Amino acid sequence: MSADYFSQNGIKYIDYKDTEVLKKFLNPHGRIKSRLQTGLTAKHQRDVTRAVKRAREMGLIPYIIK
Amino acid sequence: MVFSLTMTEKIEKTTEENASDAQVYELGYHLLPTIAQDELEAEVAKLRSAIESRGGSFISEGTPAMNNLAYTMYVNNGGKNTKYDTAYFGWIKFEMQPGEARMLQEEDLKENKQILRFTVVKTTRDETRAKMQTEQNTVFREVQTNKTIEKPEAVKEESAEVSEEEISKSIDDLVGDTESTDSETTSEEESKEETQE
Repeated sequence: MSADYFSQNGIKYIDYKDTEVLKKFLNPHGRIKSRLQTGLTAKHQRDVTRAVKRAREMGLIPYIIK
Repeated sequence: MVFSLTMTEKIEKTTEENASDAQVYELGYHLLPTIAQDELEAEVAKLRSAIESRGGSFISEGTPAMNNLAYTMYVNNGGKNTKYDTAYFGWIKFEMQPGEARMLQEEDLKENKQILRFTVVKTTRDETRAKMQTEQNTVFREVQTNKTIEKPEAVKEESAEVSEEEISKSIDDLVGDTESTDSETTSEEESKEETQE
């Protein structure tokens, strides 16, 4: 098993302000990709989900991309 | 064994807990784009003083910068919506008691009309921003692209001196072999012809 994105890059905390990182885990419509697609650990997937939702609320990333 | 604590012990215990309960928070905020650049510092100073007055201690800060919002935000001002497509986004990381942090949000930040939107999240004291934004630090699956395929070294033929006699001998051997095979084939053909007759 290869390590996931955050383990590989040594990222311990998934920050809602890192929009460029979060965008890697969104599909073209702005929806959060599933674990099957992201290949993240369950914990990191939860952290990404939380960060994405915070970033959306703060207007840093969109809720939907039409 | 005495299970019940005296009143003074209880108070001491709660104060100790409070001291250790301090939590690291991060306030992220959008200030209205209508604020002039000169007044920006004064607005941030207001936020800082609000945090300080509630016993917060600063850890780090991100200066507000004009930012395009991902979607249009609306603020209702007395039955009339005002649209905002841009805002100054900044953040302050600080340490505070949980109860005070709640009061900070309810009483100070919500009442501040210059804040378009804000969020207070629990975080860690360490730097939380990902440092791998540059491509140099990103780790991709190792693909060896720079390695060129090495050509195998040409084997040099050893030029050993060969005498003329040896050459003529080897030629004779080769010729002799072919002659013998030729003669065999011709004899076979002849025999075939004979049988046909």
